[in-house]
Amino acid sequence: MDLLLSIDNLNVHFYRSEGVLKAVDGISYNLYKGEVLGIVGESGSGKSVSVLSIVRLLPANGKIVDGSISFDGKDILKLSMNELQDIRGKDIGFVFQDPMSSLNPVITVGQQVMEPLLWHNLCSREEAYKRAKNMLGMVGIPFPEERMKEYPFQFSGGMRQRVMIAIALICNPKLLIADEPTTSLDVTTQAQIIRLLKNMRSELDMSVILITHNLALTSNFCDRLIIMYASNMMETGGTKDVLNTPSHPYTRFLLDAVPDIEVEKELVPIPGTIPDLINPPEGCKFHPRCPMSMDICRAEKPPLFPVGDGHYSACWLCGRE
Amino acid sequence: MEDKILISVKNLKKYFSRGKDIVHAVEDVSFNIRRGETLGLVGESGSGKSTVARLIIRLIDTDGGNIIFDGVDITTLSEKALKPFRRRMQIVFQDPASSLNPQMTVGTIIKEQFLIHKLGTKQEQEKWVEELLEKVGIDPSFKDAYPHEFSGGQQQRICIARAIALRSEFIICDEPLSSLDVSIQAQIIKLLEDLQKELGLTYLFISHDLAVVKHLSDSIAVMYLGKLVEFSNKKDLFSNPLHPYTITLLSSVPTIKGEEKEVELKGEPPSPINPPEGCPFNPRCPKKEDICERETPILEEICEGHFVACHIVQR
Repeated sequence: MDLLLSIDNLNVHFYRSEGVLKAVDGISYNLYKGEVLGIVGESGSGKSVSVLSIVRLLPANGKIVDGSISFDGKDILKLSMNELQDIRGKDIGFVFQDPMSSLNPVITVGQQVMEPLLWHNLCSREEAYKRAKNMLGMVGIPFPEERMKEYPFQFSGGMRQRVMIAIALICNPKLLIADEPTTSLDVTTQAQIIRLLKNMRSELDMSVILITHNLALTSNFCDRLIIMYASNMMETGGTKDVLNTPSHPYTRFLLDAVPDIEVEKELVPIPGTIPDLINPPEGCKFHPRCPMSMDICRAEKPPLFPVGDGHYSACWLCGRE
Repeated sequence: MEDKILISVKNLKKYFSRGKDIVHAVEDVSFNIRRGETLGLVGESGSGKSTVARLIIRLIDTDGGNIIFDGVDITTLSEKALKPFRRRMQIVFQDPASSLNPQMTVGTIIKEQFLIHKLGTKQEQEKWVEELLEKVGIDPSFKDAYPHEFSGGQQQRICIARAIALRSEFIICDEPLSSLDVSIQAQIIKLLEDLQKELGLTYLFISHDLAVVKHLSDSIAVMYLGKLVEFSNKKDLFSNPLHPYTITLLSSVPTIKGEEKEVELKGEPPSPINPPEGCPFNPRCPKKEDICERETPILEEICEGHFVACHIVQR
């Protein structure tokens, strides 16, 4: 498999009045062509920031302080703004959580779907219109030609998210980043959107990064998973391996804390709360909540230990032998 | 059995006018909740679940039907006559931050309950507040802190403390977990379970998360477009769902095992402004027949305790 994206020792800091917040604390991973990677974590775990860094879309007080990002052979951190804008929206498409706030309320949906093509000078206006119409049809919007004349408020939540997906895919990107794309949607609509993303991935042969807090959502879509907690990678591996044989206590907790519709089980809540990232705990970031924590967990940050084929866990328990 | 029923709702109706249009928010909803049990109310957004909740505790008035609380019809009671009942029913909302007054300390927020209902002396009220905070897992020494000083999970605990302050028997939880992180959700679920055991509470638990509803509920009511389409005990509903909508709803829930399921719901939920003729689900139903477009199916008992509103299933 060919490498598409490689992130090495990424560190992102946010400068706040209260101090420096380490939003991403030394993360490395690779993404191969055609692969679907799921990044799972709670709010504040750094899952979105780590991915927005790929196109350097950080808020003004955020800065990539260390690490390297290589996308399709290009060193992202060395690119000029103009070169970056060639990648944004063309090679990398984005779908965000709330479609209503991502769409422009005063421009017709058709215009918005055509925009990336025109902005990147990829084709003529007539061609862009045709391609936008086809794309809207592909993402499951009935009567695309009529609906292109309408505005976002005339669409339901699920339909708006389909429009977002059409915009993200119109330039045939190499990578689609979907940041909580179904969180604001109903469960039946969520199933439709995930199915659509799956079909589009195989049809357009692109890579996908799915960011979510819902482990179950990854199970029949993602090839590989990264579990994040408090700016750090806790566990990574093939989806089946991580879900069936989780090796990090946090992953196990996460699985035990969420009720499953098919399995009757006692819920085990994770004690405590998410740590303050301006003054994070020393050593393993999870140790204050971990019932298995040992002396070394408080003192030293665990590296990623191999626990299986391509399956790694940042826990001292896995590296004792 | 009859005397065990705490809440009984009969043919509840609610319409909202929006300009010239009428939104059919709740249409002929009937169900019972037995004392000490949890009824899970599920449905998509816009299906009328929250409106039902607000109708039951009389936050809004009905346009038809009856609400019977512990044997008394409270549907049209005056505000004054209703006050003793208000004490016995409470609600916990989705977003704890917006349901706590930011200018009041959490101690005052909880104490307000006792002031409104003129209960206890000052010392007693202070003591009760501390006991309540302790009960929901908040250090009572924080009673003089303001809501913004707490995390979302803690704020929800404070809302729950307020809801149980008057020893209310009936608590409505309207999507109480939706704004919380997954690791915190389990803590709140556990708290709700423990309180129910300890205080014998009756819950109406509204959620779009079917896995949570399955975990907490004794019976489940499924709403679609303002109508109740299925009602049953938990076991039957999940092992033998009958209404085509319930079947697709259950198969839409992602699971860790991640088996691909065949049933996918087509199309969009119709608007409650112009609900379809006949069965509300007919435009999207895979089993639709002619009768579904003409006649509205009535909720009927198919087997013991399992009610379904579907022409096809009823045959």
